[in-house]
Amino acid sequence: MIVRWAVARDCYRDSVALLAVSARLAAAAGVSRASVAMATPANVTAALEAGAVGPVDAGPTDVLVLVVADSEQVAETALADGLAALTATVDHGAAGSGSAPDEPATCIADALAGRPEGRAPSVALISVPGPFAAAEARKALDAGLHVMIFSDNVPVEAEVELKRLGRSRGLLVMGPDCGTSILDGMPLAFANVVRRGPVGLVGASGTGLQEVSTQLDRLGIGVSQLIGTGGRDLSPAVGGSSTVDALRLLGTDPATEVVVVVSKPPDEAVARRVLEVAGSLGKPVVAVLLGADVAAMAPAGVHGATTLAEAALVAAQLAGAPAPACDASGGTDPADTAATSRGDAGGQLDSGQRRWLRGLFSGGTLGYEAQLVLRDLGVTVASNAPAPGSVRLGVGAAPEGHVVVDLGADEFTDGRPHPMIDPATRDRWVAEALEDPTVSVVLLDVVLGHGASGDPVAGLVPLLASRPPGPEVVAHVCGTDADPVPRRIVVDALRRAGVRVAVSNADAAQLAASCLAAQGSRS
Amino acid sequence: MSEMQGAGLFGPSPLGVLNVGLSGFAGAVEAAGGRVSPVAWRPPAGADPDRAWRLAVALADAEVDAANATAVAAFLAADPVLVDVSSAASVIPALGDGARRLLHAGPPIDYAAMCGPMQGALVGAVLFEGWAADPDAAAALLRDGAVATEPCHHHGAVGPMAGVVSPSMPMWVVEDRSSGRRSFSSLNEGLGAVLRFGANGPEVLDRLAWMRDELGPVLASTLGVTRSGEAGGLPLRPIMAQALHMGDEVHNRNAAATGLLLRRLLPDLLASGAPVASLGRVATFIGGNDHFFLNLSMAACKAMLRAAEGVPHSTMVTTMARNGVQFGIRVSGGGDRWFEATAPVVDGLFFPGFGPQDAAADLGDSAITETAGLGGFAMAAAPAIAQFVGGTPADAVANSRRMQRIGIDRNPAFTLPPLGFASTVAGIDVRRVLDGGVLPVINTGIAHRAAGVGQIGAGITTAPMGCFLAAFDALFPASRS
Repeated sequence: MIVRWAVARDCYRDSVALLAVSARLAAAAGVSRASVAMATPANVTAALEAGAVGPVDAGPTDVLVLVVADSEQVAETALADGLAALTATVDHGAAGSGSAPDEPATCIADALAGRPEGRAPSVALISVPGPFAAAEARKALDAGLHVMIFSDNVPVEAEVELKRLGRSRGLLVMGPDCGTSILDGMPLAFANVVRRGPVGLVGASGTGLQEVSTQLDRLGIGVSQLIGTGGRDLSPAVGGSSTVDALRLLGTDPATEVVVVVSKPPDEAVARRVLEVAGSLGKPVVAVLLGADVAAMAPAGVHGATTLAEAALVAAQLAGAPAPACDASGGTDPADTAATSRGDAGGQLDSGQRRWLRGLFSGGTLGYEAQLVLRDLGVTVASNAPAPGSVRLGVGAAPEGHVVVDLGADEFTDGRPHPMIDPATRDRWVAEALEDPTVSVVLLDVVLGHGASGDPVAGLVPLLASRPPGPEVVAHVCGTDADPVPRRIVVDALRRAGVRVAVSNADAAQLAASCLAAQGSRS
Repeated sequence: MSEMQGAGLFGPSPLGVLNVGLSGFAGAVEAAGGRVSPVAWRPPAGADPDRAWRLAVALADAEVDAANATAVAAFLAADPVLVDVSSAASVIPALGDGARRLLHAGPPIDYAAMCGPMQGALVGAVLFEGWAADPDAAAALLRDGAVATEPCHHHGAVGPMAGVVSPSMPMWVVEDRSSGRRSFSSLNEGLGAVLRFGANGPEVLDRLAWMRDELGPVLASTLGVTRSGEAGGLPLRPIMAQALHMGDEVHNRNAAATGLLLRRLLPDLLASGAPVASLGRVATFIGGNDHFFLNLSMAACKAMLRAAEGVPHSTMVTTMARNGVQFGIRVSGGGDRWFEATAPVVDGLFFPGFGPQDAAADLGDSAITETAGLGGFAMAAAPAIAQFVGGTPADAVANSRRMQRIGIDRNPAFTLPPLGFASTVAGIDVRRVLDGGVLPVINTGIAHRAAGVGQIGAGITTAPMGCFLAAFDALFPASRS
């Protein structure tokens, strides 16, 4: 038998803790006896009696570890094990004690601390006030997380820096000002409940992505991934950094068979670069860069589309949608013809008086697309967010002529919720338009999905139902029947209030233009 | 251009989402089968966006992490051993050069600006040293600067409450065995009318004289015997570690530690050669004061924290101290600079007849224990302390667990039974205080605002954020671009 001892100096452990270490050492193969005890004179004497070779220079503030084993090696291993157990730092982390409830983490580091491997989050969704968002995104990137920044009002220099940092670490930065993403079926921020399927979407435009994904859903085609990259990603300063990265991710994602890239008008050089990457994915790509001539720039394998609905249709066909589902005709829902029109264009009032269109949008990209559709039909509008061919409407200027207003623009959301969350601002504008004797058509959108208002037409429906004869009202409801507020219910409510509801945003704009034309032909 | 790896963005396992901001986004993820880790976010870094960005950069600064590791390693390696009791004049050069100088608690402050208890204590110390005949004359000397005052912390010393030290007072001498450096604290006078609460009447001065003439010398002889033993003194960490397992947090509760100290000293006391009557008075004095160990705990903590001072770039807090007007901290990478904010008023349990309106603001060097991860940080070990604010043992545990969030590392020397024997915090990180907004919790006594009334309660407070913001700005200045 081999007897060995060691001392942990100035180490206090209570008797229970010491017994626990003793038991652990004694359980090792080849150890016949182990004693871990404060080195009181009595314990030192006991150790010497057990065969320890003295002198044992230890005192009552030290812990004496004594091992009796059948080999030198076993004894030394047990001693090392005992000393390690005595001097180890104990860290139970967040799981430490059952006696006090976990207090909520107040910062990213605390939320991530103590999470076991494999249970850690992989993406951070950041929706703090804009001036603080970049700092939180930076912390998330430093922790190895992909980042989606919902917040807006983040300086563009910070966006460039974050995307540079993310790219250097192989992490995707979605945003800032990224309203929607769906990753592996998981909705982040504003997202519609769409079926899962083979089409992967990338876009710098939140409501643009929502429109394409819900149109795909209507056509019976599902979404693999939907990646928002932030409203400024395709600007010259940012250079499409995240859009390019997201395209490459979809290129290697086995669930994605067809890719759609969506944007408001990008910088042309950036657009060329994005399309070049899109053409290199080895998968069919549909590009809808609103207002840009994709066909002129796109490499082989990239299909251009001019509207969001068209992009969805082309993608659905590429994904093998059954022909009957591919309703290329667009137009209004079948039931629309049954709607009671309360429009009075050319009726009692002087036919020359009602002639203007009011487009009142909560979705920025939807308003933008509407302007382009109207432009192509010969209707020139003014807008606070003008598309090419539109006239700039000054902030606070009274609307005159054909007007399309983006009610989600900064001047309307400063200190107020976005109209997708709280439609009060939109409802006020609609009320004014209805009372305006020069307005012929009111065109609006209702955007559904996670994060959106729980009752988006609560104010609108009574307003419309009780209105005296006046302008035609045309609407598009962007959503699906699986959304938290089902599209069908909203559409029915609007129809009962005399609204003409189209199946897509582009069709709604077209319908509005045809109302204007009809009114014009009667005058 | 590096390739996007997309690690974990898409994959077979359900997506885990860290939700920072709007809590409403969590529901949709959970409904879809995803895991959400919520952050109850509040604006960090004093709600200053520029500082918040600098903080994010600083949190990822490897140089700072390395500096903190160095500072913490030195803190953990320090081995405080009680070696002597000796007059302040003999161990603190600034009190032994014949100049009329006194030490006080907290960051520097002019006499005129001091709180009542500190002024009262300084007056008492002037009288005790015989530099003035009456309180008015003593106050005049202090006002005129004829008697200088400096912080204890500038001289390797600490004192509870007013923390006043004069040249002839006996001091605990605690040696850090890893560096040989010595730190000091006064001896605890007990409760009631005592100098540290600003009392300066005959009863107080008589006790101080007895401590100087009998208690100090007897303890000095006793420790002479102790020094001749194997350890060459009395190692303090084991006593503190054991006390943590006996219901003390060695700041506001020292009952177990005082008993352990007396038990350890008793044989050497008896061997010191002091007359039996003298031994009786000394043993009675120590045994009658549940807080007798406090000053030793403070000196031990000071010794450990001094080892961590002066590491460039380190954000480890090395001092937290209050003078009854200002709360000041010092940081390892910040040199000797104090970073200050207004001292808070303590939330606590008041003795009958007193209330918050009677209280002085937070006072004393005893927050050195929290700086070392004890006191409020170790409250779980001393559930009785939570009663000072009407709390429960669960609250005490919650406080200790919350403090773990602002720690740089853990201290294997000290463990907390109610936390499953988790180790105490080793080093407060200024960056982490700013990030989560979790402020250091301090257990402390409450002094009456008027000099000499004494202790009127005890309770719990937190270090003010302003100190940590100022320290951060000094270490990570805003760019001048």
